[in-house]
Amino acid sequence: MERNDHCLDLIDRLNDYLDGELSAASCAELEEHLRQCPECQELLASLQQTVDLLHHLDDLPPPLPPALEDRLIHQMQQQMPFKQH
Amino acid sequence: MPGPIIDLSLYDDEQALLAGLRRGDPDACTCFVKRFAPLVYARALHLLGDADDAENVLQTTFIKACAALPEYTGAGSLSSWLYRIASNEGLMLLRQKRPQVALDAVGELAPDETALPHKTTWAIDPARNVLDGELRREIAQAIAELPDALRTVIVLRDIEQLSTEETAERLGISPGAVKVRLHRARLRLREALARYVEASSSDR
Repeated sequence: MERNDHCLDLIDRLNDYLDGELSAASCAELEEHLRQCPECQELLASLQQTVDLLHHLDDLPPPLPPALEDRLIHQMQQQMPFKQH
Repeated sequence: MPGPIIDLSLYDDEQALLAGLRRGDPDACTCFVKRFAPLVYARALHLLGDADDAENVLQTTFIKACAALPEYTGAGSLSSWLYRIASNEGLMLLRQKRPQVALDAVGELAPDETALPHKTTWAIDPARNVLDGELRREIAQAIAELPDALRTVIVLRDIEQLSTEETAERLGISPGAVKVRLHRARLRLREALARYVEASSSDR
């Protein structure tokens, strides 16, 4: 099935669907459409993957550049306003 | 010059780390930075899209956290507390730098959103592939290229994983506006990823 105006209308709801923020009636309408429209199924799947990637983007952040880390540690150790004398 | 080797596991426990910081132990400072700074910096970089600005936010965040430590009650995790300071600092910096383009301005959103998304099928395992540096850089670049109004929403909603309501509150916009922007931002990032996946597969 080629995309049509109905698809365009439903595309606007795909993210709410992914986030579980769609009403039950809209959910049922969207799911009915998805069963018949492989194009929208693919779009939903790739949007889901995009969101999953973003959720995992900071799972293992790269280490700080060493010079920046050294500056920050030095700055913190100089600061220490909380130090109990 | 590398500093002395220290045992980072000494402060694995958050309460021990807090106690170490409060008594001014330099090793606790080092552990605090090594443990939390990479993620604070990564989040700031996503939010601001600029390395100098991200470094600025990183330093301010740790200075403010130090100053606030005596009053920190330990409710919630230390990391959530720090990331909240960092995203508030980041949003403040954005507003200062671009006062002429408010974060709630819809005018800066390009009117290209009615186009049907690019047709392509692809499958990426997110948990494995974000460890791939090239894909991570590609996503980071695509996020950096979004207009501020879209980038701030996607960072708070999909990277920091705040709720629609919390995101709306932080940005001072309505939950409806958050949803519209999130939708546009996700479609744009999906397009960027689709182009990347297509280009990578045609290279093989």
